[in-house]
Amino acid sequence: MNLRSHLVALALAPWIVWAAPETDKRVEKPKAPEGFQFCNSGKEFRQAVVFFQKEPDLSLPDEKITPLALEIAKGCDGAALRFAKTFLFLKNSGVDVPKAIHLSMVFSKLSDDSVSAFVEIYKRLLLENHLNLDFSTAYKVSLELSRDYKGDPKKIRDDFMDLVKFCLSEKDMALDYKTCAQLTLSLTQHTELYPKGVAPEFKKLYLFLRNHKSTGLAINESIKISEKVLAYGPLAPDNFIETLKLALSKKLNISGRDEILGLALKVSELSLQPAPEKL
Amino acid sequence: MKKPIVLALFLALSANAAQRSVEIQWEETPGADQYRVEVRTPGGEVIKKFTSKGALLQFKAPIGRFELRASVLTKDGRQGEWSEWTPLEIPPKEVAFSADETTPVSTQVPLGKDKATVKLTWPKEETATRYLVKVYKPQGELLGQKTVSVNELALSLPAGEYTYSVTSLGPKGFQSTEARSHQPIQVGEAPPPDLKVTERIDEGTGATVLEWTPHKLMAIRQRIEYQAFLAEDWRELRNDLLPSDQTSWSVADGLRPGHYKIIMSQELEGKPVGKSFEKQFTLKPNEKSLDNNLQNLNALLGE
Repeated sequence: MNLRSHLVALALAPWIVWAAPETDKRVEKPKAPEGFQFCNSGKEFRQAVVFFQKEPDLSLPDEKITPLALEIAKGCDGAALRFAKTFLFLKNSGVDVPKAIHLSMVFSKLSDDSVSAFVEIYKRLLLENHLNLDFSTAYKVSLELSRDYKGDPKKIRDDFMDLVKFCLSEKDMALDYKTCAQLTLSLTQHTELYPKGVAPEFKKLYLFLRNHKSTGLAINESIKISEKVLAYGPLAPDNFIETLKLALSKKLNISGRDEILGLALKVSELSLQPAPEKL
Repeated sequence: MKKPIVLALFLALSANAAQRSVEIQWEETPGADQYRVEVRTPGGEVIKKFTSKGALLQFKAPIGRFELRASVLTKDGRQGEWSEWTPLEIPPKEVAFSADETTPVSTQVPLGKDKATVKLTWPKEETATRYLVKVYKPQGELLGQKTVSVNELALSLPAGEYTYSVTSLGPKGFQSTEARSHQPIQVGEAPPPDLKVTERIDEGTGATVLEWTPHKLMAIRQRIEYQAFLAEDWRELRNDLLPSDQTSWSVADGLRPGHYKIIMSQELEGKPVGKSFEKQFTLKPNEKSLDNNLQNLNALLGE
């Protein structure tokens, strides 16, 4: 959209006048035309300038600060905070300052949830008390699951954190870093298929396979089957469990363990099918 | 009757340490039945008289300068005219270096010194009262010479390759021909001891600790290079000589997360010596350091 159409759109906008408090006239914002948002750009610009002036690792001449602060203000409300939070986090991680500025600029234009997803996922991938991956892998994957993530960043963040915790926890799976990293990254590919994330369904299916008196599968096998089933969406776990229970009740003419598991898997695969073509 | 003419003079080692065996030969004189030979000192004192049937005579004499003459004796006992006095020099015998002994005489200049002590030994020569030792540079230029009274010499030489010779010296300046040793002298530079750095994990802090034992002659330089994550270049954080009493360094000394290179090297009089120690490691952040300043964000934004 060019400047003229932008201005026309604003002129046609249904302007709502709010009873603003005396202290801050911008507490409640008027409704912007569709496809637009009104932004406290002055505040964002000011905060960005102050941050550049106060942060010792960003000691830049004023003529360089202005264009950077302008760029940050383009991220609308909260942009300066997102920039500052991402920058400090990256700087504290040991990331090269120019690269940290660049990436923080990118995150300043994304949502708060995207920043939060990046920070929390990165922490869990990198830190020694979590998955303890190397910097490059942690950085790459956390960007994939935040900056480049097409779904809900809050959901992927919570799902990821939940899976890591369940995998590493002594009272749950108690697995090693490497296995947990692989498992978490594999399962979070399906997060968007699940309204509440894949973690709750994984936990349910995994614990069923591990603890059921007739199946009682080993850890590796339980993980492998869970990963296969969960790829077919939110109905697949229940479809798998239902079929397994049916087969185990000996109402079907099959008795072999592998045969029963194979059948349950086949049925669960049918949980995700192409929709019929509209005539 | 012709005077005998001395043709050749042979010298050989005598069993007697102070004397050499001398062999002389002269031209046969027709009609000669025997020959009479006399040896005298330069002062004119005749010290040996011989009568020989042939034109060849062997006798022992001390090292020195002499003169000899010969005359013919006929069958009927008549003695011919004496020859002129012929000078006879009996020098000490040449030192007998073995041609098979070619192993270099090797030594090394100790660390912090300019020269190394080289000990030369050679076969003892009984007829020599002293020895003149000459040391030559590779191109044949004389480096120096020394006279000693025993068949060994300790020399102080800078690093390099040399050859040497020994000349037997007798009394009154008599000397043998110069005998060249077949053993070259090789003086190398002593390799400096490598800096040995050991690593351990501090039980209290969990930090990696580097420890070393400094060499008394050498200073230790520590260079620390840092590469931030995602950065392309390394940047030098430190390049200093450490205090001589410092023997350890801990990795956890307030370092920022990133990649590090620690290079420890030894220096002698400002020049690097020996192999240096290099360690690369990656320092990850911890939860606490990651959250540093994040609580003060509002203040940092001027709010």
